[in-house]
Amino acid sequence: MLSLFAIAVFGPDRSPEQRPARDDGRELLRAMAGGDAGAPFEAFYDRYAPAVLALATRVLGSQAEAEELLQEIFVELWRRAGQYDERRARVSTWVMTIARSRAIDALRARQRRGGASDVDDAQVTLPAPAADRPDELAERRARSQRVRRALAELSDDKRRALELAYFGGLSHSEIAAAEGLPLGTVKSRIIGAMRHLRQVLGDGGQP
Amino acid sequence: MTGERERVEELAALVAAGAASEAEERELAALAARSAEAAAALAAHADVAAMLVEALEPIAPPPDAFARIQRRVVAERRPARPPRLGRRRAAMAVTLAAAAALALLWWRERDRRLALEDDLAAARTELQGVAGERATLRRELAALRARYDVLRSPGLRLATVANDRGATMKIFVDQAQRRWLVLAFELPPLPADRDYQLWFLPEDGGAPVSGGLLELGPDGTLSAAPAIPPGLQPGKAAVSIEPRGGSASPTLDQIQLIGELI
Repeated sequence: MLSLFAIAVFGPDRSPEQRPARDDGRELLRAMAGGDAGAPFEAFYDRYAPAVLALATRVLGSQAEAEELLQEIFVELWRRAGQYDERRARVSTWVMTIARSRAIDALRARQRRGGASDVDDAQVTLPAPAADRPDELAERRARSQRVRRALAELSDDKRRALELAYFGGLSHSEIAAAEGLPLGTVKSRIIGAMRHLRQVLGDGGQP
Repeated sequence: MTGERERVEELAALVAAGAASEAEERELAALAARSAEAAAALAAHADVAAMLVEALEPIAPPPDAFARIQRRVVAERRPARPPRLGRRRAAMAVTLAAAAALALLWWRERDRRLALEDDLAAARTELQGVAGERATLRRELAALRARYDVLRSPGLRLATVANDRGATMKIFVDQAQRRWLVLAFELPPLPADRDYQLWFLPEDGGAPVSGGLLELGPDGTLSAAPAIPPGLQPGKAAVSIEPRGGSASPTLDQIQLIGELI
């Protein structure tokens, strides 16, 4: 079940000036919400599946487990397509919020069972799908470089705290306990990291 | 930045990063419900958090993954147009749908509750183990402190007793406080039904007085911190092998160490 965070994100409407920039994913979601499981759904899948799979692999530490979870995530995205409201979030934010929640749920379920992952130390990365338009591919690569540059500007401490929270699913108190740090220090690092990223990437990561 | 605005920004950053506590999530949800500014801050941080995924190398899914997903969703596909129902049948359909949604919600909550109960039981078991371990460590610490107290006393006296098989016993005496510490080395291990017992032989030739059992300390040394009766003037100390739990008087042919005290 999604956290209160996701429910809050998709809560009150943003004002017109706060609405997300044009995003073709909205059209695809509208078609999916209308019951079209054909070309629009496949285009939506092609657009977001590589990133969702990368996120799930990063969280679970296993590409095999992530590939199984990918199915569950996209079935859920399909089911909830009618709930997407473009006034409240970008499509990419909506997709990644749901994907991350499911990945963290799967991670916690595995931890409760006491299982360890078959960690794939070498992440298998394949080129982006050939169906991508060159301009879209270039745009995505430029955004990726910008995000990586922004992360590299963070101190190691801040970056680690943020990664433990976002990809590890740990709360600030769990990070403090695991790292042997005061709670206030952990909170400051995460808040500082997010502030810096928002300052640098706040326009959507556009170059 | 005003106090509340700063608080909103901090909460939004923590929630978007997935690091917030449940109380912080509820606080921000309440703020976002009544303040457009809070909602905007949360949405902005959520966008930034989602961008973290763009730092990862995308991974192409297996070629048949979409086909499998599509088969599942086709089976659940919503009709393009809802069926035309009479008013009564429509009301029943809504009621059934609501009931199904409630049942699904209840089932999910039940699973979540069971999982939380499992976690709670595991945490309680672990806590009991930790409490037991802490009690053991406290006892060991108290024993080591008592030993140290004797060793650092200013008027400390030492007697050494040895046998011809390499075993020795060192007897530390704090005469002012009448505290004793006995350490024994190179005594052979005993079977489970036997103990080493310490004895003090009075100077006046009276019956031996038990100084208790030698116990294996946290550092692996056999030791005892005997309490000597006030009127007793020990002349000799001895160690014998006795039945488990000790004896009222020493088994003479089982004496391993015996010697004069200073």
